[in-house]
Amino acid sequence: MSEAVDPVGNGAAQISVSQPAGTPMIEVTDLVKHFPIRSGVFIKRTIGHVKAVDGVSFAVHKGQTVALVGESGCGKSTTARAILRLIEPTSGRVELDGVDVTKLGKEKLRQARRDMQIIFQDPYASLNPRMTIRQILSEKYQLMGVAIKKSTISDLLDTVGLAEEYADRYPHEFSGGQRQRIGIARAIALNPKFVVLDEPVSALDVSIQAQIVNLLEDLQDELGLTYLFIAHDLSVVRHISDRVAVMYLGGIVEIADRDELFDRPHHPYTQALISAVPIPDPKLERIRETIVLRGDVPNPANPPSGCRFRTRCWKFEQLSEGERQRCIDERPALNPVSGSGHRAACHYAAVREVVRA
Amino acid sequence: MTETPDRDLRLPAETLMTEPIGEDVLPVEEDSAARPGKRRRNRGQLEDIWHRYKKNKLAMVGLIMVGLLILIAVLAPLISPYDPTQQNLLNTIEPPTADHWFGTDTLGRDVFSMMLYGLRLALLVGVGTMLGSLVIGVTVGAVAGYFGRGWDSLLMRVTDIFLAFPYLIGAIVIVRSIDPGQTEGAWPVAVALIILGWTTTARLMRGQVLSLRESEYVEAARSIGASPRRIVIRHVLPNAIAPVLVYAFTSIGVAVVAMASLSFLGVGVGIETPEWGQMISQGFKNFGVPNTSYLWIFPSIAIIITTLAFAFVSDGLRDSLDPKLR
Amino acid sequence: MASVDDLDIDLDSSAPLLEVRDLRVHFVTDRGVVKAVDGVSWMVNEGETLAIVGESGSGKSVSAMTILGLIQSPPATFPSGDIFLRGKSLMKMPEKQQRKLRGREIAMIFQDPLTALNPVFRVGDQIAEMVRNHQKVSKVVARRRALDLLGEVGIPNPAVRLNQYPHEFSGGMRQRAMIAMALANDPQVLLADEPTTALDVTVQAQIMALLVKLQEDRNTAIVLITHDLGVVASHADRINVMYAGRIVEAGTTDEIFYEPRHAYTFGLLSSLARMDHRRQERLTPIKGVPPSLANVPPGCPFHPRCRFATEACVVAVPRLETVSGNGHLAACVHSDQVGMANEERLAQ
Repeated sequence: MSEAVDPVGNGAAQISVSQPAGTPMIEVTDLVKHFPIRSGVFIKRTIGHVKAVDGVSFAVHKGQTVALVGESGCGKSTTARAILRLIEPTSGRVELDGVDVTKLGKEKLRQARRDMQIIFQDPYASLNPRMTIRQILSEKYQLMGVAIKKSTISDLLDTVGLAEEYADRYPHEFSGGQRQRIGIARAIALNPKFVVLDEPVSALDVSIQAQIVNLLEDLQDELGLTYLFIAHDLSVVRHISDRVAVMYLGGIVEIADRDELFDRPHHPYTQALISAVPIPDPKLERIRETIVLRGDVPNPANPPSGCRFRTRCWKFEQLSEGERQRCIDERPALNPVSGSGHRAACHYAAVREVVRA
Repeated sequence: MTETPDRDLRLPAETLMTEPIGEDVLPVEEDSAARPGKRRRNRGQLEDIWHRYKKNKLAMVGLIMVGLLILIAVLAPLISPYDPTQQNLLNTIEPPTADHWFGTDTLGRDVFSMMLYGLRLALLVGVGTMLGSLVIGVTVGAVAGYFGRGWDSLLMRVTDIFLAFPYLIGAIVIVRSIDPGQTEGAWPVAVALIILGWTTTARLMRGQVLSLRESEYVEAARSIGASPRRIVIRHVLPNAIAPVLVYAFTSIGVAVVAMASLSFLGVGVGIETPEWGQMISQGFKNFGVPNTSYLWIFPSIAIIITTLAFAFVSDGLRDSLDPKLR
Repeated sequence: MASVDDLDIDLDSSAPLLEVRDLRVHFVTDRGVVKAVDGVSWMVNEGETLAIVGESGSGKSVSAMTILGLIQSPPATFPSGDIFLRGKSLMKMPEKQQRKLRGREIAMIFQDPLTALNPVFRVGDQIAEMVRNHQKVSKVVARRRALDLLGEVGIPNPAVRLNQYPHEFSGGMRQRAMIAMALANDPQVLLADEPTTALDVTVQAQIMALLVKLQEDRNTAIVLITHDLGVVASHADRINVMYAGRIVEAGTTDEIFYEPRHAYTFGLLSSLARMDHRRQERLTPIKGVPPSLANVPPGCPFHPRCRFATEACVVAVPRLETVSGNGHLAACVHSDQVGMANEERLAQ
């Protein structure tokens, strides 16, 4: 598909970056979540903090999808849960359609939940095994004080491609893909403004993933949903998102419009991450270069000084002694690297092509 | 892409994958939304549990045994050939005859009738203890588990204190202090057993709630604005209760044995009350006297049967309460 | 270096290294007979990587576990089939000889190293134990071998790591430790069951690079069992595609990816989102869900989900037949149509 006739991808991406008109649907500013590490037998004392999310900022415009990608422990799921206040953020601001969610009192927050929803990764764990599908889907209406019409549940099931006659069955009677549809139905009931998709297809069989991805895209078009897509599978990210933020050890290291990020990655971690994803194309794989990083992700309770990625960074190894010192001493800011809202947090950011579209 | 099938080396997980509703029935095609198919009758939750329970033969035997025991206990006044408290000092320690099927005891009472009333008492105390422990244990465990932190520390320390009591000695002390003259019947025993018995239920419940609290469907309930109270009642309790109920049924047998032990040691109900432990104790006092072993053999068998019956039911419940097994 | 000779088993060095012939593994359950593996044949030679690709419930893991004797009977039954190591039947061999061969000539790497490593023993001791199970060496020698192996699989500070417990290792390190354990006796065949599925992509790249290096050094045959077509594309020489307990297509990696002739293979390839593609309007999914192995549709098991299906597909189970060149097999009535549809897809 050429860029010129790609109205959703390219055109929309420009809106999210250069068009200041209108406020974003969701705007996250300097979000922080520290988990205390407690120790002691009788009286628990705080002996340190795991900095799961350490100053994250981004925005998602209406009808758009921003992907938050990274490996396990990078803080992407914590970020999503802190935005939804499923866990209480330590500090920072989250504005949903202009309202700061972090400041809402109990009842206001409860009402705001109607507008912000989440679809979970594991369709086996996210449905109460002792409730029927009808009970699971009705609960939200009851909680929000909205009357359920006779057709409500069947319409909802219809929207996600399930037949109404299964409404009175229990979750264990469905396959993974079918359960994920139920999870989606629960989330989109009552037309939320903003939906977090927490790895919604990674637990599903390969042949089912495409069904769910298509369903999510259709729903976005029909209902005008705004998505935050949490993922580690970059293939699906490239397909579904308008803008991508890459996280490493609690912070965003690079953020850009989708094609810009994949075609012109600037941060050495983004480059390694993209290069490590195998592409289902043997001839391409034979000539393609994989950047193999050393070691594992450091313990977030005790992250490296300066740039958090430097202990595994391939570029760090190529730097001179003097250049390295800067990585050790100074934490790089998320600075613009080129036009159109492309930012990277690296002192020595430079393009390296790792995948050719 | 993380497909994470369980690793069970005996029977590979993928072969056990919950069978999805046949696709001839359930449409998940891309474009057709609802296709009418044959409609399977929807079973309720209880019906499902019963369906699974039926498959376990031993559990069914247990259930029939429990049913019979309850029936006998209820009908005791009708079945008993004699008043179980009626003493006949002219006819003591008479081995089983046609008139007295199980013989008579040291006070000349009919052992068969005493057994029937003893069953009544055993079931009352057993079930009463179970219900009492369940209410206290589930409440304490659920509060400690769900609200955590201060509540958890406080309640669990209290639980530890009760748990530290030696069971039988603790029971003796409690019964003696409530009822020093042994005039109050069996309720002091039940109270003592509840005081000492709820702790296991509470710990079990807390563990369940702690793990369920982190489950995704509880998170999902919070995400649609459910209150803590609703989450506990609608989402946590129904899923946490299964292992607790399983334990509760076993604990009935434990309570029956405990009451008998107390009576055997001369604590609890007085000698005039027909009770199995008392009866065994009588038998032991005549130990070695020819033709008196029936005095302790019959009540001992009764205790074993009762304990086993509830253990079988408990075993069957463990499997049938799991909605993932069909 | 362990050689096959001191096992007192006659092995025919001209026969294929490992061959599975018409293997059936069924489980009798109260929901009916689950045909986890239903007539599967393949072979692998030294230095070669054979990938077995399938979704959950395709039976891809069960065949590997059967080779290692990890499937217990009952509940399993083996209605037919045999496994040959260098021409010698494993299934007809006495139990004791089988055990000698397993772990020594054939070793396995699991998806989740935590379940394969014993949490209460030090990692070094577990590897040394593995060595001593199959070789008559002293404890000191076995420990030195464990140290070498940990170094070889790229674990930093092996001398320290030797004395640590599995929980002190990170996910990637545990997987390395398990590979070290599998290599303890220089096996000729390595069965890798979803070896990187539980790992992050950058760690996956490390582990796959390690396996490639080990294979080059030792000329090991690798059987890579996975659902990840990306990993397969970059590492397999040949591929078996499994669906509902059967192999539905077999061929070289290029044949499978560029000339698929079974509708299922074609469907899988068409449904993938690709990182190197600019946005497609929509993905092309396979409709429906994989069948339960207790209730496999008659005829071609894929027909209810297949866009090419006709009545001919329901009549009989299609046989694996040569579709092109040497050794490209497909069990599909409409393999020609699939081939044409694929040319259209590639032309786009």
